[in-house]
Amino acid sequence: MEQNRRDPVATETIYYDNATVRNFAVATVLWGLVGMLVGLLIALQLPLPGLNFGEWLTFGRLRPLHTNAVIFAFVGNGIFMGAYYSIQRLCKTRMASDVLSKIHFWGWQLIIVSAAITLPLGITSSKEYAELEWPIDLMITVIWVVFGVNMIWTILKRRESHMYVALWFYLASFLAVAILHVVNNLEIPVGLTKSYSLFAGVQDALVQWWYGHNAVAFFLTTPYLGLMYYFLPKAANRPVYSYRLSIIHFWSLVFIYIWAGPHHLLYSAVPDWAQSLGTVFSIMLIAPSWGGMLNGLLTLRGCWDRVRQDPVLKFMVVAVTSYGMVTFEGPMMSLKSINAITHFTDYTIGHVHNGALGWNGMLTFGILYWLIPRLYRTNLYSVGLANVHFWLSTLGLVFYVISMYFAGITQGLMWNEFDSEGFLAYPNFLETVIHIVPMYYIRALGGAVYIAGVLLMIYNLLKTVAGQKLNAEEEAVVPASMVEVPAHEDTFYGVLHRTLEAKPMPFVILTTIAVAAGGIFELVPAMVMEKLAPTQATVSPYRALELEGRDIYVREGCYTCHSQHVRPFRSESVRYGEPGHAGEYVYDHPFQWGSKRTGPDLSRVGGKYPHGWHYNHMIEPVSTSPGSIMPAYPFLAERKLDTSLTKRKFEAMQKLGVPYTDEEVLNAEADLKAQAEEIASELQANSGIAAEADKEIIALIAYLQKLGKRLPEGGEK
Amino acid sequence: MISTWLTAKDGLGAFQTVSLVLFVMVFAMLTYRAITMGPEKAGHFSRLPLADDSGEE
Repeated sequence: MEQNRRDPVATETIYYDNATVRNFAVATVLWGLVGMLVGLLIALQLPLPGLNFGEWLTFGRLRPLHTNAVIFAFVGNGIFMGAYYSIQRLCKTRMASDVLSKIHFWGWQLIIVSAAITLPLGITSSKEYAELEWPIDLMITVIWVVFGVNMIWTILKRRESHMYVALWFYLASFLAVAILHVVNNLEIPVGLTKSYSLFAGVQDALVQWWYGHNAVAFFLTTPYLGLMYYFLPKAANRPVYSYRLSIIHFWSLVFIYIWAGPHHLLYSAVPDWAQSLGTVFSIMLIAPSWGGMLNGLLTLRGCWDRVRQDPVLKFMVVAVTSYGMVTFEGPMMSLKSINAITHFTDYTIGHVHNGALGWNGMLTFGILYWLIPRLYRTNLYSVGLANVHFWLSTLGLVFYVISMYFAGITQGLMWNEFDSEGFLAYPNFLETVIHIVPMYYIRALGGAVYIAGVLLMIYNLLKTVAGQKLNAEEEAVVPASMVEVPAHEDTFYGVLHRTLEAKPMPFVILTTIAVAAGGIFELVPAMVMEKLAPTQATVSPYRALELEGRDIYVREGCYTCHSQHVRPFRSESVRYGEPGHAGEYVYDHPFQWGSKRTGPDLSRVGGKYPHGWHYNHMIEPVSTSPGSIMPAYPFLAERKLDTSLTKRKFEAMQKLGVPYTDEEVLNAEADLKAQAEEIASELQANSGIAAEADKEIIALIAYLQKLGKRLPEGGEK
Repeated sequence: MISTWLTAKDGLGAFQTVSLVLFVMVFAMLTYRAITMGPEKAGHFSRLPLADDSGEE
């Protein structure tokens, strides 16, 4: 090593692993198409509920499949594709272990296939963007660690002493996602396909949105910023505009991002200080985010003429612009006055798709058009087709986003509007849904146009590689050992840089501290704040049938369309009832507050309608709510309720602190049957419905009738 | 004492202030470091992606 350092011209020939890069590229395109097609189907299911086929392809089950497929399959494989290509070249070394690369690739695809099978089957934890059940969570942990080990090992054996900023972003992403994934998925299994979150109610909400927000941050944003810092200069053939700015961008972003999660819980039962913290840090996020965006755009200084001709640069410019838009929009949506209108509406859907289709999608397409011809040592089949793809993507994005903004603001205003006599202008929630159905068609059109562009790209890339051989082992002449950075300053900060940013292990520790700081400040109080969320004497734990009904509610993904939290607005109190209190959710493992109201809030629905109304509504929603776009659930009246795990579920809840007595656990099944018979009898007596007591629909009715119901003040359970 | 402080409503308001102070400190250090980085070094770092492959550019 020492000898080589004295002889910097000593070189050796190595071979970069391009096969893994190609494999991830193929997976990116394939899963991207699948995820987007599922997205198109669920977009159409809203205005055309007849497209909810059977029990496996309903909106509630497919929506998590869409989000997971796009985030972890499309973007995930996109991250690995770009990271495996750039890490090798930035470190001037082959990936440390071909075996780990292969385990990583096939392990990740196995996780995706498992998700594609289990989510339509209703196997879900219902935690948004973390719906996969515990065996798959464990697989994710193992494969993620494999990726991390391979990456860190490669960086440790690099031949370039400085770790380029893209590597910082990859490392931070790896660490943050690992922490987020483990903490958010702490759960007690009650079977191979069922578990309960360790956290409940307000705590669970804080943990979930600490995760949910930072899944966006450290899965959809920071690794893609790493890709931007590598591939944009490559495509433009110019160095990044300001390396100094990239340093500020990185450290500010990783430090600030983790704090902003509670902005998803404004006006909720989460403590006000946590909400304010989320808002303050969200606003601060504008600075580093826009610093990064400007750094990307200014990298193109002096070569904007090339943007006119080069589709790769076009895609990248729109991607970076979208990044700038969403990182301004997000902080604005975290302001309480704006959030009051946009939250729970389609505005949020427009916002996230601006990020997913614009930032992640466009950058991925740009990288694919740049990368694939190089992997095969050929030219792109058709620049013209790539340009058509660019315009289809842009047009699709505009149709999608504008329609959702329009729908969101319209619905948000309609929910809050009072007439001159002080009554709700639109007391029937359904009115506000029917009003925006045309926007759902335009959204679907936008999605279809966007997918047409993807199909064009697939054709273009297939023609590009047709008859070409993959340069699987790309030869490169590199220094025989590590090349030191010239002219180190001996200032304090020069030493700091050499110690912390040029050495992976101290860097990893520093990044962990930066990332963990926000999490600790937010979550530690949440974990110990029992006094802030006192268990209300009037709130009782779920009876066995209600708990089973709750699990059906979770399985069907009802939370994807119905919230369970009334905000403290006059309009919401009049429409739904009393605002949510922290103390009433203490037995909710996991919480079911939701993030979108395609249907009304359900937290006060208990006792609002008779059992017969719920029965008919489930079988055929339009029979009770003309014009409803909710899917029909006739199979719930046919499927027998599985009670084989009821006792174990009670035992698990007991372990989680729900105050069931041992006697209640032992009698859980008997109590379940007794309550089911009661409901079935009432259905017969009051509605003339001959329902069988052992069917799933009875359990779901029991759960819905429990929501919002309390015991009399001071009363006993 | 710590648990009392953490579980008391009154003490939690300080979290926002502490977090803001923490951020400002880190940000100030970063900015200073970025500004004081020599132009030669910054130029070298920023060109790393352009000098990383087998010469197909």
